[in-house]
Amino acid sequence: MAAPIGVFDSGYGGLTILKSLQKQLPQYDYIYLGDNARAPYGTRSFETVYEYTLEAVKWFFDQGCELVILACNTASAKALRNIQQLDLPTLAPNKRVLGVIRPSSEVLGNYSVSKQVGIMGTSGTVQSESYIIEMAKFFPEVKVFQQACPMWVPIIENGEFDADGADYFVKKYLDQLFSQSNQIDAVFWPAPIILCWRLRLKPMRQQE
Amino acid sequence: MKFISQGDIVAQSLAQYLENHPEIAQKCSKNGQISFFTTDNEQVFEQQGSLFFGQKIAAKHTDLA
Repeated sequence: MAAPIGVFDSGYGGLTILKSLQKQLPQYDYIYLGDNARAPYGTRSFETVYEYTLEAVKWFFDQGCELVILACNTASAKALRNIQQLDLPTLAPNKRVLGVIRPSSEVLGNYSVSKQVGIMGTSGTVQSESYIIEMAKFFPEVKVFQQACPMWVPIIENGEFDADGADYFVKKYLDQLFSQSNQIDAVFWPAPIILCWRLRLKPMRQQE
Repeated sequence: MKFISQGDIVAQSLAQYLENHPEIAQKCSKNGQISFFTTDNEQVFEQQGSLFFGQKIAAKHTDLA
């Protein structure tokens, strides 16, 4: 029996990915699950993120889902490989769990002329170095610069993106990224952070 | 300077995946429906989540583990 596609995030950011899925593939049904009670995952250990993410995947399977998207960079970085290689073969060999880091890494290098790309994400995603590892497979000539933005998700998820402090942290992390290299010409903003850009950075730029 | 949205990349990738894996695609229901669940307070999720999703949403509470 056919079932919705499961979309998981620790919080709200995956909703921006779900919005894109709805736009690109409107014919499909989706179930979104946010583990907001235990968010953010970004600063949690590999073991904890794996445990929590596996619980979520089992929840989706209980709903009948055959395909689950981990629309969470931290879960993709810290849990996806173990779930795919260790759990799925015994848990549900015919079901599929996909992440967001690999598909992103497959195309990111195409956006840069200087071959220098900036990645902005949670501390967990940056520490995992998943983007550096994955992009090296597809774009070995591209240099990847990472910038952890630990305050962005709490600012957004606490509804503080209209506060003056939000401007400070957007500028702070961008400055820190570009201080690593002024040749970066493509900046990748994972899902929750893109909202911050839309709401804060764009108006700031229009004022300049 | 280019700023790149992850959502669009993931959506294009999933579209390609489903095209390449029809055996998975046929197991996914197609009625254009979306349901939302949160492990926290559903009213808070609806309020905050609508900002991210770009339209009003209705959520249900669920527990994991």
